[in-house]
Amino acid sequence: MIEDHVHEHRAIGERLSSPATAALRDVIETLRAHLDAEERYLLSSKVLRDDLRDHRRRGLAQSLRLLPSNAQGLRGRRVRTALERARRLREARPMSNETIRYDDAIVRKFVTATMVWGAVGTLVGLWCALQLAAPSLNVGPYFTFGRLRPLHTNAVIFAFAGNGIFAAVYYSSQRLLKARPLARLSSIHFWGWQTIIAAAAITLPLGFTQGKEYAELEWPIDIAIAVIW
Amino acid sequence: MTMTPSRALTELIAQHDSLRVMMDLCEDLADDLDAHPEADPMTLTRELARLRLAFDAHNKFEEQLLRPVLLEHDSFGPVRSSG
Repeated sequence: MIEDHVHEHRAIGERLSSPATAALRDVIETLRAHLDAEERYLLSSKVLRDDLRDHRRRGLAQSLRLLPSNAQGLRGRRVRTALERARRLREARPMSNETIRYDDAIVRKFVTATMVWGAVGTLVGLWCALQLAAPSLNVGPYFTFGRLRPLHTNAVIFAFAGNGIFAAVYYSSQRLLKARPLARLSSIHFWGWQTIIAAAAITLPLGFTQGKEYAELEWPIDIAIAVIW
Repeated sequence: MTMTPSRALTELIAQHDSLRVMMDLCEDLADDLDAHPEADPMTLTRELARLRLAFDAHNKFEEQLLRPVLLEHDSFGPVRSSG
């Protein structure tokens, strides 16, 4: 990415030599778009953060080389007005050194839920396997193989894998985006998801099912999954 | 003086603003030249050379700075820097 960026610098620089006014307007337009894109994607307080580990050791001070005073060679009221406008824009731009504190509590909650539901799902699976070998382990009407087997698959898919996915998403997306999730929303997400799982764990042994493989849950729970996900 | 990333950011933004001012001037001079073809193009040529110099200096500074910063920025840093 940075090599592409540097290449773009070179290309624009070479085109800046053209004395033809039409070509000059064209390259200036390109340069404006380039600077705008840079400010949008690279030059922000989220990228140039003061908490970077070893910016001091890398001696960025040595790389500080101010531009030759551009304003010195510029003359006239129009230029002074433009410089004044640029100064006001610069001062108006917020320059905060943001310190991001990641919300790892929500990650821990989802990891804990993953472990708990993983154990539950596995134990139900073990029970189902034992029922195949020992039919007397079928305890009707709620804990027969026909009702427990879908409970096992749904627990593993939605409870174990689902919570694990959400834990990974909350961990990685905060770090990639340098942003913290809204605590209230993530809490609604967590408890909403656990409620869905509890609803599945209750309704499946009670025999409420659509009878479709991997889509056994009844429609109110399906809607809740779509909303909470 | 130590160059912290936030100071570098302020500096780079200021350089961008200066470049924009120079671009505005070059465009105005180009307009003048188009309106009066008999006028001396030297002013435009001189300002264009000044813009080119400023742009090159800015790029040098920015490229030196952004490489290490992007490398550290997040887990994709090495990919960004090498790509």
